[in-house]
Amino acid sequence: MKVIIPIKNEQKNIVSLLKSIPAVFSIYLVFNGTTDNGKDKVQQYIKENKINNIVVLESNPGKCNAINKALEFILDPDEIVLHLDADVRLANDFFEKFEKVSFEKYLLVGGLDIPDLDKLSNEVQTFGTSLSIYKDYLNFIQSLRIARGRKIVIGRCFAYKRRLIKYFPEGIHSEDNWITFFTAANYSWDNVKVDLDLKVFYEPASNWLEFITQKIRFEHGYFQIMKLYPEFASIYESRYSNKDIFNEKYFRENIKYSTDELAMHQKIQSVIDIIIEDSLNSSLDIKDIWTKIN
Amino acid sequence: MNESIVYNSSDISLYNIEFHQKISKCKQIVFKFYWKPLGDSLLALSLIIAILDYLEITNNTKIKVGLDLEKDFLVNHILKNKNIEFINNAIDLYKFEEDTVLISDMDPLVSLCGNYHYCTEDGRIFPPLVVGKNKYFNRPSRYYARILLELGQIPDRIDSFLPSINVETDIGILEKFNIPQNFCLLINYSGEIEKKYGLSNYYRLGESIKNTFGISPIIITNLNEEDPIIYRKLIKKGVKIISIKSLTDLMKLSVFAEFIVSNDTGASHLLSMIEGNTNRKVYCLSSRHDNEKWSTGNASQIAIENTLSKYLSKYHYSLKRDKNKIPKRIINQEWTSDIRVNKIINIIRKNYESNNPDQK
Repeated sequence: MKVIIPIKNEQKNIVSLLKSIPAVFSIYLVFNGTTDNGKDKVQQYIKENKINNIVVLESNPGKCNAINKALEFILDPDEIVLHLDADVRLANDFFEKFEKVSFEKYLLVGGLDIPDLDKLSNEVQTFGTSLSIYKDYLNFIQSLRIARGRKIVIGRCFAYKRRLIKYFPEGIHSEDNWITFFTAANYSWDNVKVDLDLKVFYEPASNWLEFITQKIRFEHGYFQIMKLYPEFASIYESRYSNKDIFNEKYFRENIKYSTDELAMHQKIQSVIDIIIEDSLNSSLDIKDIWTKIN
Repeated sequence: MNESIVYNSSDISLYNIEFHQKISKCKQIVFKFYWKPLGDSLLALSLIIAILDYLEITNNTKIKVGLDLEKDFLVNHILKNKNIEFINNAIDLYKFEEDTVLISDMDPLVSLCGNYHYCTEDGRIFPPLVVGKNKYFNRPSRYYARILLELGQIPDRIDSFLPSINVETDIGILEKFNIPQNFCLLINYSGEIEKKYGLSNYYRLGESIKNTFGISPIIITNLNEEDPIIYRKLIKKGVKIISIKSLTDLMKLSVFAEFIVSNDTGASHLLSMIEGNTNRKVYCLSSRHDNEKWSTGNASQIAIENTLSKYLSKYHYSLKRDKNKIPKRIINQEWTSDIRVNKIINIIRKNYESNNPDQK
């Protein structure tokens, strides 16, 4: 089994992630456009611990370039390839659950990304709101995403049999959307699974600007993929309105807000939606967005 | 407005009337190769020979030809007796002169002309690419044979229509790479992942060859393309893996080999073109072509087919042209690494024992 980790300036987390991956996995760590000393740190770790299941590679900037660089070395079509982001923390039972995934039945399997709220310190700039509201908001989003049902795998953690694809297309900003739609278009949605047991924790954006920037990037990536797979445009359109798959019971059980707080979250969401729409319709600079929020 | 035409070297056919007429009337031909002349581009070079001979015989005319690859060893060798003007930036001839035909391998220009009319900034129109309809005549090496047959001239060498290459026998090459006498070459070059058999598979094949025939397997590769984890593991096991970048060294080495197993890549075409290698089998792990199509009539080339190549052969399909007609489960079987070691061993055994009766 092989693990691909594209890495760009994530040095503070990477060694702990590498430590959590069992030695039976070959790990391809691909630095793409890195500017910190993460590479030296990793190579020092490999040397000191005499580790021989990690390959350190370098690619041109861009996540897909990094992934494709690693895929060049994975030749066995029946090999299971697991993609992880360099800034994630794996749940303790991750590999136990991963072993149970049937790659005969599912060609593509995604995990569940959970915001690591403990990582947020009091120094986080929460844009005029309190830290607790920001945390609540992240919880709210998370609950909503699960309650709505998940169809698209997450870039932070997904796995497939090598045979599924040769390479990712160059210049794709959203490899998780692409591989999901590629699988659905060439096989079927039955071959795609989002496994909620495969939990990975990620460090949330440390301020609203970063948070919104991430969302905008996601939306841009999404539209790029939609152009390639217009037949799946309905998935995008129904993201905020699909009642069929909305698990209301789950949602109610997991939402702990009072009416006022809920109204606050909805307001934040509506602001974000407007900003995203603006940025998609025009070439709005991130600085303009920041000004607009303020 | 002038109208010129662009052809892809692997897709044109002399049976195509448009191409035929155009090339008969043109004043000059420009060949532009973007790839190194190995693999399909190497085969395309035989098309040049075919066209030049054809025009000389039928029209008694010598056409001005431009070719960019002046310094390349293979090009010089294959075209040494041909009246070709080697010029830098030959493509400029096509751009600025009328009545010119451009033949090129898979380059961005041809891709642009693939499906629709493409109009350049200077007003030139490139018509859609012409695709050969015949079963095998879209292989450049076939043109030569076909033309000669058409003209009532049977080729001298009926076993192969590809030109042959002389390689000097140099025993020192074995010392250079520290190779034992009785060996076979397993060649893992390839730029395309589905064509790669891979170090692990070649290791398993090599072990099986050692046990079955008593021959030492030597894996040839370009280390830059290999997985360092697998490489380290195999080196620890004592597997002989050599990184060779010089084609001359590879050709010299091949002369001493019992047989060669290779991915479907330029190296395998090249090695089977070496004069004196007619009894030395080159087994090609082929994912797209059946034996008849791949070997181009050369008895020393044997394609070991996989599920996809068998299917393409059965229905006379081309992977690129007929992709929509081929079931996905079959296209999914494109990977050469799906070929089982036992299958390769059985095919080698069949040929090896008939050449070496003592080994039975």
